[in-house]
Amino acid sequence: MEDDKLSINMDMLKEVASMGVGNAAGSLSMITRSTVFMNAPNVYMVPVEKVPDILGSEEMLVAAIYMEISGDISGGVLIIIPQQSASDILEKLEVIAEVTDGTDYSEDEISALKEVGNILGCSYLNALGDFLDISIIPSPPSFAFDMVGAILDFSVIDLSNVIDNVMMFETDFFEREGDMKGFFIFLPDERSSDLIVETINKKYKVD
Amino acid sequence: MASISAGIGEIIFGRSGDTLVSRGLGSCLAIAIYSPHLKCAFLSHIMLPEPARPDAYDLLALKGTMKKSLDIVLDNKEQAQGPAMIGRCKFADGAIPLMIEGMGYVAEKTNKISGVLRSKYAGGATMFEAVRHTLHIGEKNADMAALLMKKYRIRILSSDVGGNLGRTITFDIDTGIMHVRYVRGSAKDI
Repeated sequence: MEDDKLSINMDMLKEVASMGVGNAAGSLSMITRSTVFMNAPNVYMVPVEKVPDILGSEEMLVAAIYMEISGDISGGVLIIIPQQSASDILEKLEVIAEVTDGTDYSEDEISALKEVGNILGCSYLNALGDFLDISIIPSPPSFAFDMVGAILDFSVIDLSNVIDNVMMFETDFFEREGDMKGFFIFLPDERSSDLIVETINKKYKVD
Repeated sequence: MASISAGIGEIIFGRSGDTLVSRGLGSCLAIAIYSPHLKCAFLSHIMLPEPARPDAYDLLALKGTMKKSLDIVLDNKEQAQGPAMIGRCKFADGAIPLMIEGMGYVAEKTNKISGVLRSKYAGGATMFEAVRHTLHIGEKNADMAALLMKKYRIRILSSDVGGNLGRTITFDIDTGIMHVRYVRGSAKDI
């Protein structure tokens, strides 16, 4: 935030991220057959060690889907769904568990949640890639159900060895008539966040 | 009983009656170094074994800051005060020497002998199995802790590392028990 060049770009970055978010909300609405909204994303430059604090309590139980990104940019995408919302989503998808004590997920439930994450992540990244005209290749999704602090520290740990501040795109999605909600976090590495900023700059100057 | 939690990269200090906590550890590691003689302990919440760049932190400056913080904590005799944050370092190879130096400083200031320092640590999980780049950081954190304890001749009493579950730990200074709690309701004392 102290960096001038960066703060000027923040609005543009937000705009670009909004497109991705719109795309992702549409996909999620379709698969859950409900109306899902996503707020305009926040773009932060934060010290790596502060990332786990951003979503609040470190011990909140969440289902998390992580995808690694390769191609022209690298980094990760993380979709975080609080426990209760994960159950809501599963209900909407009609994935019914044998045991629903909410403390563990069956194979079917895990693959359903992975798919939700996959669809959200990919529709976001597609919009971003199309707009910036770069290739973004997400890995297959991996799943964890755990404390949000533990999930976030694992996701940023790779970045933390190289840089002190990380560029983070964060948004929440929610349903107007329902409790389904979650968080979407895009963490480009240093080289990639530079590339995104440069590409946006070029694009806006040329047009 | 006063309790304080160490966020990522923080080093906290407490004395008899205090509890040191670290929440939501993924591949991070919570390392407690304590002295039963001095009845005090340090707890650090580290993220990485060592920095990629050698100039990532200045150990000498960090030691200076820590001693100033310890002065404030130890000199305040007016009221029984709880544990406090006394320093910062997100790397194991910085946090461990800092805590050892801190313990030496406490011994010196209180005119007591610390005896052989003890250590317990927990964390270093791999949260997502399929992610290749971060696969070994949790393990490397634990390995670095073990290596440094050996180097500085600190007795490791127990540890609970690895796996794919997040942890929250609570360290009781009087008993030296580290209580480790996982998400799915399971817990153990180490």
